[in-house]
Amino acid sequence: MIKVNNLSFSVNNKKLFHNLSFAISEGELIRISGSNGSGKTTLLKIMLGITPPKKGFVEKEFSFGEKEFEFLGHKNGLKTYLSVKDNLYLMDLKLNDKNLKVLNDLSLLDLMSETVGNLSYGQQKKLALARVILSKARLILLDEPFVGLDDDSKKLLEKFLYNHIKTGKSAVITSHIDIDLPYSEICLDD
Amino acid sequence: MIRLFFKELFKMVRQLRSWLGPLSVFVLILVAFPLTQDIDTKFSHQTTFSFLWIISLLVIMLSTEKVFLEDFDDGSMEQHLLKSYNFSDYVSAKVTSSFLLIGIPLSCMSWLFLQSAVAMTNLNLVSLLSFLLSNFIFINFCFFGNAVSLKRGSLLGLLIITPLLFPVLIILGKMLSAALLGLDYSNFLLLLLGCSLISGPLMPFVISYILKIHLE
Repeated sequence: MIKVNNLSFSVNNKKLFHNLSFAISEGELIRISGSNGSGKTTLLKIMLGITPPKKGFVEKEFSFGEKEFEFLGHKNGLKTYLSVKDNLYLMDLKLNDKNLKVLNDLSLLDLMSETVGNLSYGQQKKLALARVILSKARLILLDEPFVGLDDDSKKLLEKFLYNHIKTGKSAVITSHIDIDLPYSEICLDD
Repeated sequence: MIRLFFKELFKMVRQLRSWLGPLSVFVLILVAFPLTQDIDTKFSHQTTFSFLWIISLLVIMLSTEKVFLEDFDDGSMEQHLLKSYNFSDYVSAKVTSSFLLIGIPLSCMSWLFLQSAVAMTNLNLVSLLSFLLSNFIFINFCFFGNAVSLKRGSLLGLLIITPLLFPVLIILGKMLSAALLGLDYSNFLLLLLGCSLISGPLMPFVISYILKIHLE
């Protein structure tokens, strides 16, 4: 699905990673770990094509017409002056039974008319995650997705990630929090 | 593209203060300005036009100041970059919705003010057209300035677009002078139209490239 070949990146002559190579195949969960400032977010952005690498390249192989990837970074991408429902509309998400169930599981169904600015940090995070979860992309990239989530929501996200990779789709996450899922790890501190 | 435009329009409509506030300032100035003059003061065509162009420009600057900053800060710009549509379509949708909600109302209000301030039946259509074209160009230039100065404040953007705005204002002034002297002003109008036709399709590409650099 994605092949990372000999990637190198440095900021102000400080090497973040050097000659990094790995592949993400279908049905795989990759966890990128590392200390603060080790380049986890930068690596995600290089994989997405937002940031160009200093050296190396990223190969992407997707079937034609597939929704390739969805990304959730440190910022939620939510419009705080709009309601939960309006924010879902901006992502072209239909409120069918399946999607409503996910929203209900995330305790967001009762908040559909609420302005996002009035929600707590955790609720906003869950909404942002719901937008990614419901997007049906082949590969999802989540930057610290468990930060700000309560135990129930964390378990729910783990369950979603498990189901996601079980259907042959893939996910890449960066996380400091231990997760109860089978994953391949890329440690940027090495 | 159309769906994207409606989404941008939807966001703008819901964020009333971003465009209704500056438009209200415009109305307030239009109402307040004549009050400061003697009751028998007759406004000259040149002064009234210049006044309206400059005020329109300031209102457009004010209303488009945070047009990209909000999306950049909340992370939605990154997400737009990853979508299947061209990133320049996102910019075009923003320009179009701003022109619809700010540019067209400004042009219509300027035209109405002009009708009440100075009698100029022979310039009705051309004045409306000049307001529409100039406001479209101003919006494109302001978007460009805001994209360049995204992380450095609007003052830098203002300094960058000022040299671009001067020729447009000069063309507008020359067009009016020619019209008032009864000369052929169509060349100036075509020049404005040309500026609009160039900046309309070109600016979204330039702006999207600048925004991509910011996102890196």
